[in-house]
Formats: sequence, structure tokens, C-alpha cells
Amino acid sequence: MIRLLLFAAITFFGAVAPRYTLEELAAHSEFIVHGRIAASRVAWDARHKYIWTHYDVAVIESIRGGPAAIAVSEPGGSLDGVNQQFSGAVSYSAGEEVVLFLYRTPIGYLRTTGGLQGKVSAGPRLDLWRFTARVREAVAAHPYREAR
Amino acid sequence: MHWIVLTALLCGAPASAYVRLVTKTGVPLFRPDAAGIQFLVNPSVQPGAANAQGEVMITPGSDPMSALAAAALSWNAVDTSLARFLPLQTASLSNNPSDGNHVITIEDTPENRSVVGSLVAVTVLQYNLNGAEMDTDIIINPGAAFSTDHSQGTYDLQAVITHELGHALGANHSGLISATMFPSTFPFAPFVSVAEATMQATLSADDAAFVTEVYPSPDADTRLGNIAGTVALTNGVPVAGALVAAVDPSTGVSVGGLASLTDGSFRIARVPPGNYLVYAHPLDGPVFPFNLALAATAPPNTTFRSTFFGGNDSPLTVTIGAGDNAQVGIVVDSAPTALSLPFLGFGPADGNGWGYLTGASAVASGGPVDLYLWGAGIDSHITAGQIRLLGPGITLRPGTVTSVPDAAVAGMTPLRFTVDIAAMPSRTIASIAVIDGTDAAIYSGGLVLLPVVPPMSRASPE
Repeated sequence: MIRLLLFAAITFFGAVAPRYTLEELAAHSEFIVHGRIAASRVAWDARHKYIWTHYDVAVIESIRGGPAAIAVSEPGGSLDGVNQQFSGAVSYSAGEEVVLFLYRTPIGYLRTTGGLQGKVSAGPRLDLWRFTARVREAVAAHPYREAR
Repeated sequence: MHWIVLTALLCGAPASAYVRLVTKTGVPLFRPDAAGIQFLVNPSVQPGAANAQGEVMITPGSDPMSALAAAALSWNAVDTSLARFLPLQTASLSNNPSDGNHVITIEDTPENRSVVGSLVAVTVLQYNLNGAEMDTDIIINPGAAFSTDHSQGTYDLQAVITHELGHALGANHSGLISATMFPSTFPFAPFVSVAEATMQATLSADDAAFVTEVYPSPDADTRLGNIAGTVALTNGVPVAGALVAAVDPSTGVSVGGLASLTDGSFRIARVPPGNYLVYAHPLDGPVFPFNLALAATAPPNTTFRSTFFGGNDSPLTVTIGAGDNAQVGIVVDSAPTALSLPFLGFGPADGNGWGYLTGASAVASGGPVDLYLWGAGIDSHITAGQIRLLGPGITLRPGTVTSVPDAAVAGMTPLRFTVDIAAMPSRTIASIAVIDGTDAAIYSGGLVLLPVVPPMSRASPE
């Protein structure tokens, strides 16, 4: 008997339903960009109930989708004397270079696909330029399909 | 000016044990109502609840109110803490961060789906600048499925709510893999044991230490001890944001913390008396910096080598008695680590079959089992003497360490070895370390020894 390889089944409280492979991330992402976080701003949602932080991304390369600039939004932030924090929300820092997988929420904001999995940062063990080559292959093989 | 001074003071303070949620300026969050926390349950949380697409959110055979109550009781059972959840009440209130009510809901609205995203559940905390939590709502993902009856493809509702209640108490995610506050979980699935899918329903020593530190009972100081110190490179430069853990190999008790993001100091408070090995390891997996809502100060150092207090060759034991305060200085090699240990697997001791999880693996005690380690640098040059099993009653059988090319995962060939596990009277935690000179990789708290054979949630399709 061989146990299933369960890497595909892990789930994050601070992230997703099934843990996505690169191909699944690509398939569930309306936009995929390699870019740098340029700035952030906080704003209330349309019902003035939740605070969202919107991060402006200067696009270095659009892997899927065409805009030269894009904003990724995550819930939480401080505004008008109100402080809100959401467990598991993805955070970004100005100047951070990332590859982003983004999907559209029901209220129209673009969020990171798969929670933490949709944010891939440059680091000592990861060359983003090489990674984007793998992403382009995944995009070519897996067209976008809107998640339910 | 006032704020600048305050921020500097807070960031310079030793980081607390475990990891606490903080404000943007680093002030730890806490509940002013900790002695009597009233959560209200929206009527959407009921057996057979379906979402807007008609899909089952909670299986008809589930008992969600009992599961939620059990989750609250698990935190209430920490007798060194004063934090207490009151009996749950139902109320026709929705999540609203400004009404001061603490609501658990699974209502399917575009707004809820947007803030939950692809998470299993989220806790929404609204707090003031002093860190006082004023409103904590728990939103369960209406796009996922939950149960209390271990149905395939569902998440264990009790485990999920136990975790979210930890956030509501002010806990951040933990770096100890079997802790309730570890950031990942598994749905019930073929080859996932019930013990593994419900792992976070049982509080670990790490979770108990957190709630005790934040809401201590009057006798906590006399029943528990504290370990404090610093993490620094060999040249004396502080290591910011190291994960620090104290593990008692004779009991398996494991408590972790995060070193200060500015001066490398740490404090692992409220640990049970015992003999601890203390080590620092970088946030390079399985918990990463992005798993933790850290204060917006300096980024953590994620490239140093995992190191035990006293050195990897001859770690020193830190003995903690009730009321003791120990000081340790962990000196780590600044050379980039060449080791990683992202996956732990196990199988029968005859080498016939294996599987792995990226979370905690639960194995039956009272017999032998084969363990598999996958990771960078963990290859055929590693010997039995370089593998440390940090848990009670678990010994490596000599002559069994071997490389298994047929079990390669993600390009990594695992090491396999047989361990003999004594019969455990209760669930026991173990950690596994691989030492290679000044380098190390540690699977912290990732092996759970069960007193009985873990039942599979469903038999193999075979």
C-alpha cells in the first residue's frame, strides 16, 4: 500500500482550500504578473464595514493579463482610528519583488490566489526570472478557469 | 515624537514566546474580556447548511454546536490560564466588526467570500492602539465543506474553530507543526488519518503556554518556568526573527517562540518544568515570514543555520524547575544553510509502502515504524549518528538508515530508517533533527506518537 502524496491536500488556515500546484495556481488566476510593490493605501469597502489594504504593483512582466499597473487587495489595515486584522491575510512591503497570482473576489477586488501560495517572493533560494519561465509554461498549458 | 519613542521601546523588547498577534507598532493584542468571553453563533452554523450554490457547507450528520463548544472548552481547560469562554449562545447576528459582538458564522455573502478568500476560516479582529480587542468575528468559508463526522473532503469543524479561537485570544501562527496554531491543516481524505485531520483540535504545550502567558492564573509563576536569551551570529550580530523552540526529549513537551526583529532577544515563558534542548531555526519553512502578521519593522533573517544552544555537536540541556528563569545565548553560523526538511513520511517497518505530509504525521506507538526524511542536503552521506529523535521512547534501530531512490519526491531522494516506539499512554509529540556540522534541519513537533493505531478515514480504493 502506498499512501497518497498529500502535498496536494494540505490546507492553510492562513491560506487555501486544496493546496495548489503551480499548474492549479495558473488555472485559477485571472492575472499573473511579475512586479514590484510600489505603494499601498487603505480604504473602506463599499459598505464601510471592512478595511482593505490595496497594494499598487508596478508590473515588470505580465504573464497573464495585460495591465502595466495592477492593484492587489488584502483585507485589514488602520483607517479613521479603526484597526482591523484578518488572520491569514497576505501582507506586502513597498519595494518587494514578487510574482503574483491573482483572482477576482465577488466584490471586485483582486486577491492573491490560494492565499499565501499566490505570492512568490525573490529570495536566496529562488530566482524569480527562472521561476517566471516555469510559470509561462504552466500558463500555456492551463488556461484560466474561474473558480466557483 | 511620542509614538516614535513608544515604537522603539516595543521593538527593542524581547519577543514573547509562541507568537502573538500585534498591532502595526508591535503592541501585542489581548482580550479585556478574557475572564468571560461570550461568542454568539449565527443560525447559519447548523447541520446540513448549504451555500448559495446549494452545496453542503456542514454535513447533515454533524453536530456543529457540540464541536464549537468542545473547541472553547479545550482552551478553558488550561488551568494555568484565566481565559475562559462562556457557554456559546445562538443569536441572529451577522459578523459586524463594529458592534462589539463576537460572532461565529458561515453565511454565504459576496462580502464574506471576499474576506475569507481561499482560507478555511478567518478571524476578524478589531482593536484599539493599546492592543485591546474590541470585536472578534469568526467567518467560516462558505465555499468549503465541514463536518464533525469525519466525512471525506470536509474539514474538521472542531479543529478549525479551536484554531480560530486561538486567534481570537491573540495568538499568531506557531512554528511547531503539531500545535493548534500551526497555519495548515488537512481535510479528511484517503490516507489521512483521523488523528492527522483533527490534529489542531488538541492543544499542544505551545498553545497552553501562549494562553498562560497572556492570561496567567495567580499560581502560574510558581508552577511554570521561563527561558530567555538571545540569538546571535558568531560575530555577535543579533539574528532577527529566528524561530526558537525548547524541546524536552524525555517528555516531548515543545514550546516555541520568535526572537525579536531588532535585537534577537527572546523569551519562552510559562514552560512546564523539564530538561530542555533549545534551538533557533530560520523562518524558511514550514512556517515562513508571510505566515506571521509581524510588526512592520525589520524583516527576519531567514538564511542562518539552525543551531542548538551549546552548539550542534554538543547541545546543552537547560533544566527548568517551577518558578525558574533560565538565560541562554544561542550562537548560530551565519553561513547559508544547505539543509532543509520540508517533508516527513512514514510507513510500515518492512519498507513496504510510505506516504508523507507537509504537516504533522501521526504514528501508532508500541511498535516499529519506518520514517522517511526528504530535504535538501539530506542524502546518503547522513549517518544514524547525525539524526536526533527528540521525543520519549523513540529510538533509531541501528543499521537501518538507507537512501530510497524509488521514493523520490520533488527531485529529493529520502532517507529511510526504522524507529522503535515504546507504547505511549497518551498523545506524545516528538521532533526530528538532522545535524551536519554547524548546519541542521529540524522538523519541530512534527511527529505525533499515538497511544493506539490511527484509524484511516477511509480505506484505500485498492
